[in-house]
Amino acid sequence: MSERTSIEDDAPLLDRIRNNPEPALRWLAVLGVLVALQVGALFGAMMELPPWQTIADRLFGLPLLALFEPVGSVLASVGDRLAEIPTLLSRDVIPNRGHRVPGGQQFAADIAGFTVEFWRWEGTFLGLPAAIAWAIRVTLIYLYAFACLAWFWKGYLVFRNHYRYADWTPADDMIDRMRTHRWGQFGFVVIAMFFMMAMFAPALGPTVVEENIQEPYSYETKYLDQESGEVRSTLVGNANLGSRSRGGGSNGNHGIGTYDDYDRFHPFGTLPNGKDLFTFLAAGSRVSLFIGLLALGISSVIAFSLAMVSAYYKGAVDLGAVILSDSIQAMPRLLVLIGAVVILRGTWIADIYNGGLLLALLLGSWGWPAMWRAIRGPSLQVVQEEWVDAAKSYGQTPRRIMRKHMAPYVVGYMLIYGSMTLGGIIISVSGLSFLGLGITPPTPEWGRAIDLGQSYIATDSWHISIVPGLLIVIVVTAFNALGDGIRDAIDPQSDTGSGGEAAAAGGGA
Amino acid sequence: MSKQAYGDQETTVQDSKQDTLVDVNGLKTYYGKEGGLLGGNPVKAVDDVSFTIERGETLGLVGESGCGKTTLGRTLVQLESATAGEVAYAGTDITTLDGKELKQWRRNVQMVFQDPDSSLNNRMTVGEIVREPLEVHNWPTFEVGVQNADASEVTVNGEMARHVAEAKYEDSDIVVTPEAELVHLRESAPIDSSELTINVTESGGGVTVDVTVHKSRNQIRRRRVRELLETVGLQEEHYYRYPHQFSGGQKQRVGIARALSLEPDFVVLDEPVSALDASVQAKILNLLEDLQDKFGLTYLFIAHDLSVVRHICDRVAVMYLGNIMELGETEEMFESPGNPYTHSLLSAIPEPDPTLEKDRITLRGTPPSPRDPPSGCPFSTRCPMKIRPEEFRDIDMEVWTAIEVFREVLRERSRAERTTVERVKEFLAFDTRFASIDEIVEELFGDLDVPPEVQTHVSEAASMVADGDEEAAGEYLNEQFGSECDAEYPEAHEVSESGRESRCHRHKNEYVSPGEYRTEMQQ
Ligand code: SF4
Repeated sequence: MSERTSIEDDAPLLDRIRNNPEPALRWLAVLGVLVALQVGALFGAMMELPPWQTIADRLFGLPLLALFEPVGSVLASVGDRLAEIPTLLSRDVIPNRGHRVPGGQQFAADIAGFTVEFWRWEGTFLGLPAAIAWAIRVTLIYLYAFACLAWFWKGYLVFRNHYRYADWTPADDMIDRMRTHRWGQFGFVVIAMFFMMAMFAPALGPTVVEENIQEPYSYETKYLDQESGEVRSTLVGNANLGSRSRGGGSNGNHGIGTYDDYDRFHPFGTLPNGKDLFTFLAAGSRVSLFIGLLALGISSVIAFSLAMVSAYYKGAVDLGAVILSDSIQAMPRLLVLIGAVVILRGTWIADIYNGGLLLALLLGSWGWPAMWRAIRGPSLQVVQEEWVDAAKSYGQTPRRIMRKHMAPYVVGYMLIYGSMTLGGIIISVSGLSFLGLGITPPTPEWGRAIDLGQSYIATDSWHISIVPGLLIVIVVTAFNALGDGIRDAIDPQSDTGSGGEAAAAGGGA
Repeated sequence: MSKQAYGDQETTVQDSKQDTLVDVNGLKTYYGKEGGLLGGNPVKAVDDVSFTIERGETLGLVGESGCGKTTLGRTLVQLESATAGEVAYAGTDITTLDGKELKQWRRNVQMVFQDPDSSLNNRMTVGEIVREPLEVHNWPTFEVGVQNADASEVTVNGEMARHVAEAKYEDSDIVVTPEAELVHLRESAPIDSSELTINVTESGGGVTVDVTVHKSRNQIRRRRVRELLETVGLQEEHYYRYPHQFSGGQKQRVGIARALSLEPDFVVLDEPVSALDASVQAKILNLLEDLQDKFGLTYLFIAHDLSVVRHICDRVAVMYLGNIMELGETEEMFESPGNPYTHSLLSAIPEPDPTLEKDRITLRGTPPSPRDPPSGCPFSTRCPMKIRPEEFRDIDMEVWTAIEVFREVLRERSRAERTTVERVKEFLAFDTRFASIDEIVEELFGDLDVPPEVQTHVSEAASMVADGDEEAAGEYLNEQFGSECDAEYPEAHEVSESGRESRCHRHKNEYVSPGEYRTEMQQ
């Protein structure tokens, strides 16, 4: 083997891009546009997050660097200036809160029994009615978020087609199968929308949680008083009292897509106390997602590491894990949860994130046995493969064997099971909140909305319970659909409808 | 190892065993030892086996599936730990190694697995697969020997360099002298002298060697993998392909490349071609032979296909039920097998010329459970040449076979667990499978012309069974029809000039040897 092979050493990714820069540049250009639209928000985050002032003080205290102090302060002021650049998705660029202009009615007609009015507004985007301004903002936010998703996807495709050495990988097949799996894609899109709702919750709502829900008596709102024809100002709390939904008639009702008397638009209607349901639910999705992901993360880490270790060492380790998980599963989950929540109620841990952290911890540490059970089979199967023996034969460490030779084959099952469990966790949290045990008021949470509306379900104010109920059903279904999609993608031979997934979907309390 | 100066460039002979690479002595590998959760007897997969493998040879290991040959191979590479006995590899007992020493030793010994679909992780590229052993052992590390200097005063610096004080001249990758001269770069070292800068400084009686390699570890590894791929008949471009994109033969080549990556001396080939098409088998076998010549490898070749073994092996060990029944030179064994089991194995090879009528020895039944092997010769329950007591030497083969089957049935029955329901039924004198001994006797002996003395013994035993005492019946039959084969584990007898050994009582002078017995049978 003295003659050396002529082939060049592998070029690193950067060199490969240099040789054929066009696709990468095009892709980066799109990134530029996406960033430019939100540049203010990015700089805002940059100026806020690190303690620049402290860093600057430290640095400029040094003799040599002090020379650069003017440069530093210029940079800082530029940074602040940049942070003020309007961003596409902020509430300020497309405001929806305002009031009608006195005498601004431009158009009114009766069409098919509905009265269609068009007023000129003040304070809203381009003087458009509040509902339209809000709808424009929501649409733009979702378009932007999907554009970002598309950008990531495109990035993968560019890499795969232009820069990757391997012309084929096993993951390609899975992704290609997912591309034709409509049911899974439906799940993916719905879940993406759910995530976006959680991510952009403050910008999505027609109003802000702080002003409308947490401290309504600290903020004012302006409206056009119908009787006097003047623009007046009142406390949000007072306005809420006038926009309550309590079954209709003299008790009041503000249903889906209506204005109240204070020129406020309610896309999903209002709660019995007059607060905005959409704002409530958007903020609630953050709570649900936080709890869901944290609980899932906790149980996944436990279940996954246990599955690896118990499959690798088998015997006593596996038996111990079986006994442990069985004893945990033998406890009535709902009762334990309720008990734990009640016991820990007054403690500090119950205060963090309004009880959300406690719920996540409890659900996470009770959720792993089911998950471990679900991936134990695949783990035991993969450890039988000869490549694991091969790795042992040249002295690979157990850790690396688990990571390189076992984990990649089990991670897919984790994804399937995880996405199905997440729905279950969301149901559990809502269920507990419904029972008054989960998230403490006034923090928004979907289950709490259902609970608040339950006595009005047979009245005109049905929207209070039904809307969040439907949302939960849709999200949970979507998680299951995504799970199906992933399963069909990683294992096309598997038949649908095994026992495990039903248990997972029903994993909620 | 002997310590010596490099100057004289001569290897001292270590000891008399210089040519023996692997020395297996009394090796036992049991599964499910007593005290385990399931209890019961352990599976004696390898039961007291001794043999040696010489440097550079190919030792074949043949036997039916389940005879323990794969377990033996896996024990030699320490994928299974031995229950007892020792495996001396170049003089070190490897069954006692652990931790760092074991990992270090693993470099010397590699394994090629049977099923290329399962032995390659198909989420990794071929390049990653072949590279993995290199990464595990932080390869390359160049062993630097310094000539004309006291080893204790030498310091070797360099990220990839390691000083070896007590190595033979030709084992070191790099040899230098205090005069700053690269005396020797091992020919198969993964680097050119042009990619190497060596600085030797002498100060205060000490010698410092600085070794700088102008390539990164990654570069050297990648180059090594590419070379290996070419060596096993693949192309460099295959580096970034996944196992799914290859045929079975190509996958097995990848497996071989991986096994060779650390330059092992000894390779265990576990049925490396049995999962492949016939047309590909020959190519892979030729490749293995070429590689052996090129790198001076020693092979343990596990197989059940005897024609393959004849093609590639220098010596063959025949295994049955965890024991080695015969061991010797391949060609000789194929020409004139010694052990009755070897006779039957060889007679099962299909003859290329169908007109040549061959007398096949068909073995009845299946091998007994390795949890509970027979007490005498392991082969005694199925051996067609089993030694008979004097008085029964002349009875018909068919009658004798019926007796043997009858004994086998009783053995099985006394071993089988009876269910509670069966016990109750038996107690109530219902007809169960344990009560139908008469039917069995009728079926076995009904059509035969049974001599009266045999008949009495059979009836006696049958009545004992009818009374519910199978064990006593078995013992009774053993007393009447048993021989040395049932009672004693056979010694290994030397059966040829070249030192071939076979375990069978028939090699003793007082009995007809298996070869002669077979000729007699045919007449
Ligand atoms: S010892 Fe007896 S049973 Fe064993 S092989 Fe020889 S003849 Fe057959």
